[in-house]
Amino acid sequence: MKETLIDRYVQAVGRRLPAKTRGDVQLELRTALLDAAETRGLNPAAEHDQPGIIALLKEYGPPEGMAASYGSGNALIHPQVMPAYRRVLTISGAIITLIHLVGLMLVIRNTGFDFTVGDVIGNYIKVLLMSFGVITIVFAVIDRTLPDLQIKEPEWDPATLPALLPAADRLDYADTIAELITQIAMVGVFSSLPWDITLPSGPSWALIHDVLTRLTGLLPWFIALSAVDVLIQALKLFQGRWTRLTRWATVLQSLGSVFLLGYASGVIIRILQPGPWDDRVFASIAWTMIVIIVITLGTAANQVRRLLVPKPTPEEALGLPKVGGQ
Amino acid sequence: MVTKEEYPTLLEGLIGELRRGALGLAVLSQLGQPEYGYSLKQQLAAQGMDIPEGTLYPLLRRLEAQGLLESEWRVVDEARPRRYYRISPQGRQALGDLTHEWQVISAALNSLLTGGTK
Repeated sequence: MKETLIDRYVQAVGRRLPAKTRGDVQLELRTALLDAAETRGLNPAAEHDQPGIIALLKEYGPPEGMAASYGSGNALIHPQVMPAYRRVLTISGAIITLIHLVGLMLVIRNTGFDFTVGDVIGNYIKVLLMSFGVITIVFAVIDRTLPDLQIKEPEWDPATLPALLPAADRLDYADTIAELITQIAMVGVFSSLPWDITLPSGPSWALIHDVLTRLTGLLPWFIALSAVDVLIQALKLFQGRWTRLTRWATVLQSLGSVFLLGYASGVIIRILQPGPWDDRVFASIAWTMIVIIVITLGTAANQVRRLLVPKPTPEEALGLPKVGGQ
Repeated sequence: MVTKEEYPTLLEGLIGELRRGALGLAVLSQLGQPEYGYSLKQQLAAQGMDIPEGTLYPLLRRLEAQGLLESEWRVVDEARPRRYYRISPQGRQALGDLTHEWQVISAALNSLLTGGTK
C-alpha cells in the first residue's frame, strides 16, 4: 500500500510523543483522519485528492501542536518551542563539529598524530555537551518565563511532511558520530605512519622489521578504507537515515576490510613463522583476526539482509500496534 | 488596551476559556453508549458543540486516565481499528455532580446577565 500524507502526518505527531503512548495515539489519530477523509469523499492515495487531504491536515494543525495537546505539560522543552530548540541545537552542533574537524586536520598536518589529537576529540565532546546543556537551560527558561512568546514559524504546509521512515532505517546518531570520530582518528593514525622506530638488532627483530615494512606498503589501503567509512558516516548524518546507497557502500567497505585484514594477517604469519615464536603466538594472531573478520562480515550480512527485506507497509513503518486480533 | 485589530484574537481566547471548562461535561454526557472519537465529534457538532480534533482526542485520553471513561479497541475494518469510549461508573457519578454544578452556575449567570448592571 502506498504511503500517504496522512501516514506522514501521523509519523510526525508520533515522533513528538513519548514511546509509551505513541503507538496507541498514532493508531487512533490515523483512523480519525481516514474517517474524516472518507466523510469528505477523499481518497488519501489519489493524486487529485491531495489538495483536499492537505486542507484536512491543516485543520488538524501542525504536528507539533497536535503532539503538544497530548502532552502532560511537564516536559522540559514543550513541543511549541521544540522546532526552534532543535534548529538551534543542530546549527550549534554543526558549527562546533566543523571547527573541531578543521582543528583536528591542522593538528595532524602540523604535528603528526600525537596526544594533541586526543585533546581535540576530548575538547569536542566537552564543548558539545556544554553547548547542549546551555541551550537546553536557555530554552527551558524561555519556555517558562515567556509563555506568550510567539516564535514565528513559516506557515505550515502538510505537503512538506517528511516521508515515512521505517524503524530499520532510523539512524543511531550516537553510534554514527562515534564511528565518524573513530575513523577520522584512524585516518590520522595511518597517515602519520610509519613512525620513526629504531628496532634492536637481531634475527627476530629483522623479521619484525620485515613485517612493519610490508604493513607500511598496505597503509594506503587502510587509509582508503577508513576514508570511505568517514564518507559513509558523513553521508548518513547528512541524509539523517540509512539509504540503499549507504547500505551498499557499507557492504563493500566491510568486504574490503575483511579482504585487507585477511591479507595482512597472512603476511604477518608468513613472515614471522621462521622465527623463534611459539605456535600459540600465531594461533592468537589468527584467532584475533578471525573474530574481527567474523564481526565485520556480520555487519555486511546484516546490511544485505536489510537490502533484501521487502519495503514495509505504512502500518509497519509507523510501528502501529496490533489490536483486537488484527 | 487591545487595538481594534487585536480584538478578534482576544475574543477568540475568551470564548476558548469559556468553552474549555464545559467540554469534559459535554463529552461525558454523550458517552452513555460506546462511541469512537470521530463519531463522537460529529455527534457533538450536530448539537452545536464543535470540538477541534486536537482538543477532543487528548481530552478523551485525559478523562480515561482520570477513570471517568473506559475504552476498548474494536476491529470492524482491519485497516481502521477504532477505539470506543464509554462512561465509567465513576464518570457517571461525576456527570451527575457536574450537571448539578453547571445548572447552579448557569442559573446564577442567567440571573446576572438578565438583571443588567446596577
